Amino acid sequence: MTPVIADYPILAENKLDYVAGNKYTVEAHDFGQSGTKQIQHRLEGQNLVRDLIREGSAAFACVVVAAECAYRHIEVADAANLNWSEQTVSCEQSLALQTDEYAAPVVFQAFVVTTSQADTICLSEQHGVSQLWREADILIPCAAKIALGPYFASQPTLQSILKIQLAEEGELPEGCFEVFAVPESGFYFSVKVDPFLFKTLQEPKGATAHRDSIFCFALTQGLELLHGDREYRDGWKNYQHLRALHQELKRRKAPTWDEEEFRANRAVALLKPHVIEPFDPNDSILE
Amino acid sequence: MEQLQLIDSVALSQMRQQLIKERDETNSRNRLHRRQGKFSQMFLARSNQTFLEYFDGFSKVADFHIEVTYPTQQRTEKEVSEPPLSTEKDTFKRLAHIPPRVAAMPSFWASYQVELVRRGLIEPSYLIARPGGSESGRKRLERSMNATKRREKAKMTELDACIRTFIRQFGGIPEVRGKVSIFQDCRLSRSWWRGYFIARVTGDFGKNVEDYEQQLWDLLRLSTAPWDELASYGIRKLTSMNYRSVRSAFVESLRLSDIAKRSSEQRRNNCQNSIEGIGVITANTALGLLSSDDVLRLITPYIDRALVAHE
Repeated sequence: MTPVIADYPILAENKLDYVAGNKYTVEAHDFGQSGTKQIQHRLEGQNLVRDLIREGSAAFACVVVAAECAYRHIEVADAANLNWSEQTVSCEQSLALQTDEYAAPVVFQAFVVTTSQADTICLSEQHGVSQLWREADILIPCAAKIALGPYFASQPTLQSILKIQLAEEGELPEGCFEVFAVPESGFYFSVKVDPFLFKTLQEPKGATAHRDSIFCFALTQGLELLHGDREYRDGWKNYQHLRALHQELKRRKAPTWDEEEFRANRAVALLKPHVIEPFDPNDSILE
Repeated sequence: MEQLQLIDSVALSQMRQQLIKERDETNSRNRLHRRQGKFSQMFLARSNQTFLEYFDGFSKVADFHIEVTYPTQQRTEKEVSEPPLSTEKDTFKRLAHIPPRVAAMPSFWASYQVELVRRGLIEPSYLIARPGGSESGRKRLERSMNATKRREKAKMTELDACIRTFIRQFGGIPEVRGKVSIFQDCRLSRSWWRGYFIARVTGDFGKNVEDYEQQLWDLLRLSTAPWDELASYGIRKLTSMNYRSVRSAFVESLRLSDIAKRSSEQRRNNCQNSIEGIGVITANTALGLLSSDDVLRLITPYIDRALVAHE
């Protein structure tokens, strides 16, 4: 798929469309529980995004995604909740997490979106854009994402607190343990687990979802590290990081997905179901 | 309306996991026999009573009931394994009121089918009948159970095939197939989700409602694509397909095309390419903010291109 380059600047982390001082940040509070939750949009700097919000052509918004219920919906924040100051505009937005339409896991992404088509704009320094965009004439269509915020999950996916990386030699700090990847290849990497993760895992209730998220992610990451070659179809069998994680959990007397012994196929079937081919390829139901 | 109490989803998931064949199972005969024993136990004596006793032993979700209605007439085996249009419509009509979050739960469909058995509306063996196959579920089960010791390998293979059919029909098998299983494998839930999507597309585009709905059912009941692609992309690959406006516009554009006249393989390619085209638009555009008509105008060139590329 060819990526599309927007014909207008987008304010986002890791994008160079705007000069320093222009920033879009989002804070989400306590997404873990049911009920209505608050997210705080905050736009800093004098820039095009601010101008469009001020004239009513753009709004803070948040997309709610519950893929398992075939649900995706955009909630636009109420303009009445906008707070203006000289350098920032912020907005508090409420999102209802529990509805008949969907259930967890739910993922959210905040952004600023145009709600109508604006007139042609000739970009200049006052729009806060980088040199590349200056003097460009742009026409921003309706529903264009002009500032992108981060993703949030209703339950922590823990992607941020589990990192698999190539390990350096020497003693590993607390929360890290070695996983020998493919012995003959002669390298190893560490699985670094945040203390929060272990705390969560040791809670008798509610740990399953966390474990599944973590291990799916661990497996995916491990496979990427071990087998960048997608043609290597049996790559899923190389599950050393999961084996090590299993051992570590047992050592810490935390619950594991296989209480007795580590069984690779079972772990993979439970944690990364799509990796296993669905049944017999000759099974006509799949046709 | 009657109240349906759901079987505990964790218990059901454990049952499925215990029944699933593992890749390295040949090294563990104990597990193999445990698995077969468990399955045989459900269908022992091939009686409804054994089946019901087995599932009545499962824990139930406390303080959570769903109001449901049941068919007024017994279902035939074919209506369960490969439901015709009339049965699909009837399933959705009877359960149209249930919220999508419930329809996405394998435990709901399993619990509902246990109740269908209790009311004598289906036989447990219907859940083992292979879709599109000519052999009855009862016969299939007997064949697998009665195989001689000499033919043990064949017996295992057949028994596993029965298990696969059963757990797919019994609310799907998310442990192996992912969440898309509920949209594709379980015939009852698939009918519901088809009906749900069709009702929404009709709400967005339908003028002569009855005739329009009929065309959509015909389109979404075609084998493999577009249904399987619509479900699998929405769940796994491009969740923007789940915006109501996008799904409606996508289905409407296919309805207006000649895709129904194409081969299954062509349809699949057409749908995949079309959806990937929509994915390109979603990179910068919040399609969910636009009306179905506006989305239709935006995506039509991508769909036309995909249809021409795989004629």
